[in-house]
Amino acid sequence: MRKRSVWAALLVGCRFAAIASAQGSDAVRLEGTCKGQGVEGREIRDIHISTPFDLLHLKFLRGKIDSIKLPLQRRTPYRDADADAAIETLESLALAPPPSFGLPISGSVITLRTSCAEENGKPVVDLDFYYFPAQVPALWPSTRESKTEDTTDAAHSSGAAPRRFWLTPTVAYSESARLVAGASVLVESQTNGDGPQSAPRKESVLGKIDSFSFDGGASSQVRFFSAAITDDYLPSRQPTREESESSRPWIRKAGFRAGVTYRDEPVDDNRMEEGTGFLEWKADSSTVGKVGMVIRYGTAVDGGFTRASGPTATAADDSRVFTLKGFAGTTFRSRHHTFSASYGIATSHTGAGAVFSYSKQLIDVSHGLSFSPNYFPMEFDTHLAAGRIETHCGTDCAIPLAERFFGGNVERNFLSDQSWTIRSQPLLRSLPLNGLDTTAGGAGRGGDRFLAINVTAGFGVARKPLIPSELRNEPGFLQRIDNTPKTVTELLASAYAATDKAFLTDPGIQMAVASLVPMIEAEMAVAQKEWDGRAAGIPAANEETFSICSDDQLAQVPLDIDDIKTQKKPITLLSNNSSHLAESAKCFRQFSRGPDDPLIALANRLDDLRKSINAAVASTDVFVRARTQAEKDMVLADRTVHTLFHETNLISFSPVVMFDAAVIGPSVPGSPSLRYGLGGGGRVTILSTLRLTVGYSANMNRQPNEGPGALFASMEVLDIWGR
Amino acid sequence: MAKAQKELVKIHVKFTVLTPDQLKQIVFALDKNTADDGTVSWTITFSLATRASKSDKEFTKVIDAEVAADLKDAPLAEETSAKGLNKPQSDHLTLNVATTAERVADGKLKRATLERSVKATLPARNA
Repeated sequence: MRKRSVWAALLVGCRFAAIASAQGSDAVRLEGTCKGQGVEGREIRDIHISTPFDLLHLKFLRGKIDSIKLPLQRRTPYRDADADAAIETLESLALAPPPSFGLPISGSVITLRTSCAEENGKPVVDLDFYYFPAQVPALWPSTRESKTEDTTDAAHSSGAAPRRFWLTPTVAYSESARLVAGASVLVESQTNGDGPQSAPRKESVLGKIDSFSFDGGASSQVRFFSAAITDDYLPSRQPTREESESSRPWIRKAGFRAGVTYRDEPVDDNRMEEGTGFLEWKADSSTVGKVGMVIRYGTAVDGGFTRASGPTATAADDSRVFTLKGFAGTTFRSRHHTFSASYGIATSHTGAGAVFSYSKQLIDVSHGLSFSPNYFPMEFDTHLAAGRIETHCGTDCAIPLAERFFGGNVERNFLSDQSWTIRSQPLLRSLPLNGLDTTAGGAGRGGDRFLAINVTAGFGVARKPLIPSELRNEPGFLQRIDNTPKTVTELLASAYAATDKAFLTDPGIQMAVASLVPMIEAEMAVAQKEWDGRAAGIPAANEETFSICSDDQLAQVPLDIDDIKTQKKPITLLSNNSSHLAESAKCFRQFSRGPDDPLIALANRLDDLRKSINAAVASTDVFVRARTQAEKDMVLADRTVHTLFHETNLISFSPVVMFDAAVIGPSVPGSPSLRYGLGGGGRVTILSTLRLTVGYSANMNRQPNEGPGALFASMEVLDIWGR
Repeated sequence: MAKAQKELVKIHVKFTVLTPDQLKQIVFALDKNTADDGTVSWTITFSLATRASKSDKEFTKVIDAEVAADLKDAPLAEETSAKGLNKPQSDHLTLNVATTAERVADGKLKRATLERSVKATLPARNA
């Protein structure tokens, strides 16, 4: 994981400077309104192109934008036609999605704003293009864990991050661990050149490795590292409809992860050490329902050693441990809610007693509620976790120290990476790492059961939104952006409906084609004769309209019928409300000579036939199925567009309030087992750059040998190189 | 220096949809232009591109049309640009306009028919 850096303060300063500089140059450059002044022919003083993604420190994107050769040049006269051509160039070149990118849909909004001024007595104009390309990557995550990354590191989470190598310095503090410095390295494999969201090549054994990661850190008290390689299964980016329908919805993506982990840390006066090699397989289902619920599951096998030393260490703490794991759960993210519920079980063999010496079971349920009124982040998270270890061989096989439960202000995950979190230890921020360690088993021996609840509330008090205020305040701008996914959903639903197999197989629709289409054909033949007979008598003023009716509508109805009969087109080509048949009926009414005109009767009969076809189609699930599929396809895009335009800030600061309650057992007789803490802190986020959290939690029912509370801090530099 | 107000002179909204068989690409765009005197005009762009196989990377443009919206349709253009396409408009584009475009490309119909069909996307909102 990319976390916590002591170098962050310096970088923070640089980022602030860069942002301030960018804003400052705008302020100096823009001087006056163009309202009422002629822009055409004014000398172009400056051209500026921006996108929301540009502010994510995506240097590669800036490079692409700068390389676009617009048909507008500085120090040349402004021409409106050139500006139109510039918009066309902007959307069709470097940033356009490749045909294989995600779902077969994209949308974009471009605005041009002008600002007029005088320079050395000469009228000049500054041009400011704003470009928002809405692309739909196939693999946008829909998990609770992805929420934080989407709002704080959108470039990486949306797959727009350009590089394959990441170095993330980290620093963290916990009283028992002291100041821990470390780093994370992530190396991702090359793609097939279709863009960052493309599936990696899989040509050889080495080619199957999608990424290599390393995390490590050390202090005077703790040492830890993990290294892993991954191999992810990604679905085809261009599945046909049939392939989509027959593909396994229970595996939208899956992946193997293999590696080693090691940790050495204090527990009271003891020390414990654990080294493990693991092979883990995880899978996510396709999203279920409108909310985008994902079912996830997996299994793992790992083996290694545990060791312990200190006054209460036992011989059984030094063991070789072989473990089988299984885990499953569900998660979803909507605009305001995130939810995750997971269950994990691990059965371990230590060489003592039965085949399996003990089993560990974990339950983890969490919910997040978030709002962003006027871009101020408001978050309320609740997390419930519980665990139990049971031995299978009585007193013959003790549970090694490193396998037992300890509470403290460091989150521990049952799984090997943070894409899915099942807490394996109680989180208690009022005590330092492993600070909750005493049960009936003895001081520093931890527990065989735990229960913990954690509540965290954050309220943003300062922020600078990603979307510039001029655009946010531009009437209709955000409305246009927000409606982009809705339009895409409509288009997608129409496209799905037009190719639905029910048009070829549904008995009701087949019956309509067999019986109603010939009736329409016959009525149209009569109407056409009647229509043609009137051509000579049409007044000159109406001749053009009559001719347009003939060419655009009446002439196309027989072609529509042919295409439907030969199954080239669906029957809705004839029956939709603005079809050539519907418009032909309108033409008949327009050129009728009164209520008794035979054209009126023909128009009414044709409308009735058309409505009968619509009723036959509506009685099937064609439109429901198409809309459901389109909404399912777009649920993640809609949410992500909303996050980007309504929640994401360049910089934000939120005070945080937290409450924890945790217990490990079995409890010491006569001694309170429940610990609870109340604390506060602050969280600073600089988009795509830094996440910093500092806080202090008071130990509300302090016991002998426990401190009054605990300070905790974490700092995560998201990308030390910038983008 | 305080920022002066910028004038929004162009809004361009564009949608590209690939048909489920992935062989046809339909593009619909709506442009709003504001002249110096405040006059607003709307332009609709439609294009149809195809490829023989979904393994082909590039699409070949079959036909495109760019038409100015009728003055009477300006409120519908404003509504469509702000709220997006509704179902009747989406059906009109993917069925009627796309089919007309194919027929014009095949020489069965005149180009003016396609341009009028594209223009009819705005009133189709209330169809």
